[in-house]
Amino acid sequence: MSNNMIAPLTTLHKQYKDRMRRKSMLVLLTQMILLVGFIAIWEWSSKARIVDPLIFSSPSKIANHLYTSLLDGSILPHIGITVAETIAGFLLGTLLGTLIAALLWWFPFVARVFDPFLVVLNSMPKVALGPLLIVGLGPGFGSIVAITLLVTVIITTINIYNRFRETEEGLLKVATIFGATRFQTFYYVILPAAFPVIISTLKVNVGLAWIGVIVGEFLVARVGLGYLIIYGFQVFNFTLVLSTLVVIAFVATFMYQAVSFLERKVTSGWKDR
Amino acid sequence: MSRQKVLELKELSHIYVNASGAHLAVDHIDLTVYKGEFISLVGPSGCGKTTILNMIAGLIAPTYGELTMLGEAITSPSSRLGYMQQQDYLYPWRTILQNVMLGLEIRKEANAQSKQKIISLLDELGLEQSADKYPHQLSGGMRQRVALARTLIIDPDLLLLDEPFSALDLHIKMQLEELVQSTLDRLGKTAILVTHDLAEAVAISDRVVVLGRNPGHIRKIVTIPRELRAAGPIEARKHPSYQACFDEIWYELDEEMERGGKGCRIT
Repeated sequence: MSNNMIAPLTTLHKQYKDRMRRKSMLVLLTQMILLVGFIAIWEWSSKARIVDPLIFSSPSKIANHLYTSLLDGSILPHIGITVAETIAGFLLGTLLGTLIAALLWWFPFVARVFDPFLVVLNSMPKVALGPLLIVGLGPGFGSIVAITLLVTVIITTINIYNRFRETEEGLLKVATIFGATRFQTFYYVILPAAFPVIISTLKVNVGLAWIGVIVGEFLVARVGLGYLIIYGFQVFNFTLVLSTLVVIAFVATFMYQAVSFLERKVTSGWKDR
Repeated sequence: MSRQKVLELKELSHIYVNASGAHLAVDHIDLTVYKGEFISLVGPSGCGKTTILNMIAGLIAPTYGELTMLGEAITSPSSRLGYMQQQDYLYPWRTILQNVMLGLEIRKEANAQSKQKIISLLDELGLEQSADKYPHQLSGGMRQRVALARTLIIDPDLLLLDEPFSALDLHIKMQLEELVQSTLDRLGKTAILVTHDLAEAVAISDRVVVLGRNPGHIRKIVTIPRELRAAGPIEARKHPSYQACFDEIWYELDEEMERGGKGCRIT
């Protein structure tokens, strides 16, 4: 009886897995076709002068430019400095935001006082303060990281503070009954309960940090990917602008994946509540 | 009677004050609980069961009256007291072992022997091999048993049980009642259980306190016959004298519902 059952069960499972694999393959294939098709049409319409090659360049020119600039290493300092600024920006933004959120949680009076100010700051376009920071801190690494910090820190503070406040009453009660001090409550309950939100804020901040860094470099830098874009624009070299964009796309994706990996590591034990 | 008094409530009252007014939640509760007793509080919603429990736990202060545990006034959460909630509230980021360790860590009592102590307690509660698992890997009944272990590991004299069985399936619920009662008996612990379930109250307790509402007050205290208490929660439900006890409490609650409470609101 049970032997009779096993054969069809494994067959069914195999069929199911095959179906799923076929579906994934189909998705991947379609993605490839779209990408290759896009590049091919771009190349062709540029060669045929359907689009202006001065503005839109062409994939072959971009690939060629990337190849040479990677080979002679001339793009590497630009990548290095921009990545450093971005990482410094989003790490500092997340860290500082979490710290401010902790202070707001610790002092409810302060939280109530600052609530409207946070709302105003959050709705303001922070990069508009860029010129101020550049004058204050001098052009360069410091002021660009500061702009990035400004872009990320307010929303981080608001998100994480809200998460702190929404910690489940029952979880807190467990610690209170054990006689936990305010600091212990924070350390044992509030902070670890907020870890998933802190990590997902980190993810959002990776994207925001790129905005801060690129705008900052537009304004002052003499090195960096944002500088390359603005320089390419000034000398009307759109091949340079577009190939820099391609580099940014790759580096930003890599950074996002790295944070996702970190997320899986940190929350591996507890997927659900 | 030479029995030791664990807990004394004298004219205990509590008034909640908020934006919409002041509201008398609990009115002159007098109750003495002796060592090893299992007391149940039953009553309609709004009768102040949870308020009473929170006062005993030292989470809220009584507005009037006296509240002493082993001769000392309760002013803040005490190390002699354990509390089980309706849900287990295990910390999902901690393993089972770490969850049970929590109380010891907060009290800075964790030491080299703690781990072994916890593992043998988990074994006693039927949770072998689960020390390194995370809460989401366990069933609801197992999780509530971990919550019991987390409460017992700090060796409290008095356990407050705030409907800890109510979220479980009937079969699991009765097994857990049995486990909790036998474990507390073996360790000589005193317990106060808040429950909606009259059958549970009759099957598990030494005395059942029937509360009325608006404001919360004691209507009647029903003493459960010794033979019922000795039988254990599952067997007690089949005992010949079980139904009479159940009916007595049922009648009290019926009266309470019809009368609709004292209707006392101070604003």
